[in-house]
Amino acid sequence: MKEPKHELKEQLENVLKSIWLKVYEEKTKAIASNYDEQLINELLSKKYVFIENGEIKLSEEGERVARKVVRLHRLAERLLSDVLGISEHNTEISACLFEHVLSEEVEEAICTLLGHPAICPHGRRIPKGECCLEGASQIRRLIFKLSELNPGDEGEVKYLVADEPVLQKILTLGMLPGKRFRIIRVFPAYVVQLGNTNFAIDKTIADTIYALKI
Amino acid sequence: MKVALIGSPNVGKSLIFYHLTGKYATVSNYPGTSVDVTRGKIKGLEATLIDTPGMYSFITITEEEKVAKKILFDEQPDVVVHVMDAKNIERKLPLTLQLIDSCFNTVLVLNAMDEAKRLGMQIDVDLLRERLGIPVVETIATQKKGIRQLKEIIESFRGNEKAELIYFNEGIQNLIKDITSMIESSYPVRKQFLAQLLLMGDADAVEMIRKEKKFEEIIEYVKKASLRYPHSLSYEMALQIEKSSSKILSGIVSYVLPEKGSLVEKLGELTIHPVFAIPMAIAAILALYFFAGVIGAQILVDFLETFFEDNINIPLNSALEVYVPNYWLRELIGGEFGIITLGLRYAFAIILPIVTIFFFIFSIIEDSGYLPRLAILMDRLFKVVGLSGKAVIPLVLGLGCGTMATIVTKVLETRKEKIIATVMLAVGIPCSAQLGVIFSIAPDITSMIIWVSIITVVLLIAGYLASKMIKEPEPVFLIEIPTLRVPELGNVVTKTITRLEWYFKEVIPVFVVASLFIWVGRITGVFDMLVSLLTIPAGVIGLPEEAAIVFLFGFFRRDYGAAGLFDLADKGLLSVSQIIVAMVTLTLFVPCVAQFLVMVKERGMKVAILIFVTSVIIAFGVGYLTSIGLVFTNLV
Repeated sequence: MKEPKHELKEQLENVLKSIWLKVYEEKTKAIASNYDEQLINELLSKKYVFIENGEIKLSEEGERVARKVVRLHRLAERLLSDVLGISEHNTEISACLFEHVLSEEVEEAICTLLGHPAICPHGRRIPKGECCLEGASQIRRLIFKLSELNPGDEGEVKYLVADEPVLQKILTLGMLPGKRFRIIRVFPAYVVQLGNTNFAIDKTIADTIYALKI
Repeated sequence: MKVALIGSPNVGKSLIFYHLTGKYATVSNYPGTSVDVTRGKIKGLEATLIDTPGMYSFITITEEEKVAKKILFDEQPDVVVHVMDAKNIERKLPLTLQLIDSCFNTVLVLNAMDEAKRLGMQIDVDLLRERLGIPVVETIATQKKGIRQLKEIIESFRGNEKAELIYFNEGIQNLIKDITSMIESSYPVRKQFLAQLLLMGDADAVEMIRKEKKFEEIIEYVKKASLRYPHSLSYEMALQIEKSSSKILSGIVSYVLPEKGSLVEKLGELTIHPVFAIPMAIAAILALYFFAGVIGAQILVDFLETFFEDNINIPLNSALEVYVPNYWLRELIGGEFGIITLGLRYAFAIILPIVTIFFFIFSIIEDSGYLPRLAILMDRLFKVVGLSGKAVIPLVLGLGCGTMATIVTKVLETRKEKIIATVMLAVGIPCSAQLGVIFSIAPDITSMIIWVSIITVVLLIAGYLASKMIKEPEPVFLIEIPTLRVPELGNVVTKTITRLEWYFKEVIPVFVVASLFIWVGRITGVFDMLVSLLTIPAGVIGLPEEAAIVFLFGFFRRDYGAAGLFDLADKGLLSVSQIIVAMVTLTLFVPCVAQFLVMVKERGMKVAILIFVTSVIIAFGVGYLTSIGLVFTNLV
């Protein structure tokens, strides 16, 4: 059985997350009457939220906490699906638990391991953490941008982060998630062996391909 | 019966076309040669064969891909032959599945089976045939193997056995179902397939259904649907198509130990090596220079020129003196500017040898698969002027003929790249005839170096400024690297002849017309007026009056002007520094009439005129600076 205190924290964080998603991603309003009154009162007393004309708004501190929960959830999704290969359904369940328990240190370690991913497996943006901005770290990484690999390295494409026209080009090459490739050169352009063909790409494209280094 | 050849660039479509029809479409070992569509009759069959430009997928990016798709949709071929490089079957099969899904009668050709076997690849063709429900043929086009079988299959083909080979998940299936029900008219492809294209964001599909009653509704629906897939619907769908393809291929492709890499393959590695690649690129350009510049422009031109003068011009002129009493009539054919003595002499004695050799060497380089490698090498440098490495193809071709190269700028992907490449071709990439003449009149190595440096700097500045002026996103670079091959002599020769044929169809009339214009201009006095007008800038940059005529010629054809310059220098009318100034100015001077017309056609009147005027200003401006610079630096 969970400690009651823990459970409350989790519930509060879920409410904050839900408000954050409404306000910052769906760009709609969070109506106070749609939420559990007790939980909202608790958040009000912690000064995480305030209410204006029946609409809940996040305080600066509340926004920070909510953003972090979203970030942890999506990082966890990436970790579970890219590195551990967990099914989509189980990924979602576990990520919902992870988001409440990961410490800052673990968060940074996972983020770095995954090469500071920009999007979650569903294509939604992962809010940046401090480690993403600093970049440098002691932790060994698993996921790299193709542009960060060296000649001789082999990788498996995990996901692509590109705008439509560039994405189309990469797709027509057949550089799809799950495909294995080998880096042959990184200068004067990135030369990549995919199946039986070599092709060359520039840094702009190499930056959009995230791969698990094998 | 209509048969279309479809497939990504450089997989042997054009060669198969040649074997089936006996007609030559430009074949090469680099992506993007066939921008135009070639048609021919299949030998011994009542069927028209259409060779399409390269096409990677139904979601088209480049103009050539659009052309290929348009042929499929508009011409409704009875059979579509999908040609692929056998070793890339894993990546290319999705397009086959889409062809089958869109209801085209499809034949799959696995070409270059020899290369696949060398890689240790084994394909269970019988099983593939069964799973796809269409004929599958193995060929080696370079050795003409499997062609007869392909012909028999086309002749007896009765249609696909299966309709749907792509499985989308339920979510996407529902989207397709909904859109299909909204489409009312009938189209060359199945409605379900059209719905797929719409969902994948294909602009051509949107154009196709523009007349639909529920057009707005459909577009709105697609927009809403894609919002539900933050990862982009096309990505999601591409993944699922790919999944269907892998499933079909499972157990079909297997590998045994590959044969050892050949010497040519090792050389291929070197051509993109960061260190060895540069000397190799220089060697390739030097080879072009040596053959076109030295053998073509100097030895051959010298020989042919003398021959033409002695055996045609002199006897012709004396015959004219005797038999044609009218001065102007005599001048039309002979004399200094006549159709034969000037027009045809320039065309056959000066231009022909240079261009022939250039096209021959270019075809060898092209067929070997070297150009994409050169593109890789140049990509970073080209980015400075707003181009991607791919632009190397039109720019190097521009060293042969600027007009042809301007047409080939079609292979570039963005409007920005096309304009910049057009600008560079118009402003300063000298064509082979110009190049040849410049090589032969250059007094010494120093003046060659001065000329090359000035032109390079001007080109870089022009490209840089153009790229800054066009506010569009920077191009991205992505190119498939073909296997380096030893070119087949037969292919090279045929290709050279095809190009020469094009060139002469284009050149001879212009030369004759130019002579005619000059003739009319001389009678009416317009010619003298223009010449005296051009004498002013020519005088400012320190050139004699005769040079003004050369510039006027240069407008009719660049090589025409170059040939005029050759005459001038030959007569010893120019000093060393005057020759350098003339070389620079003429290289930078306006593009010829033909190139200008192509510019108007490809880029529009406004852009073409802008480039035209700019290049006149640049030519005389830089010419002036050169003449001053030469005086001050005392280099020559």
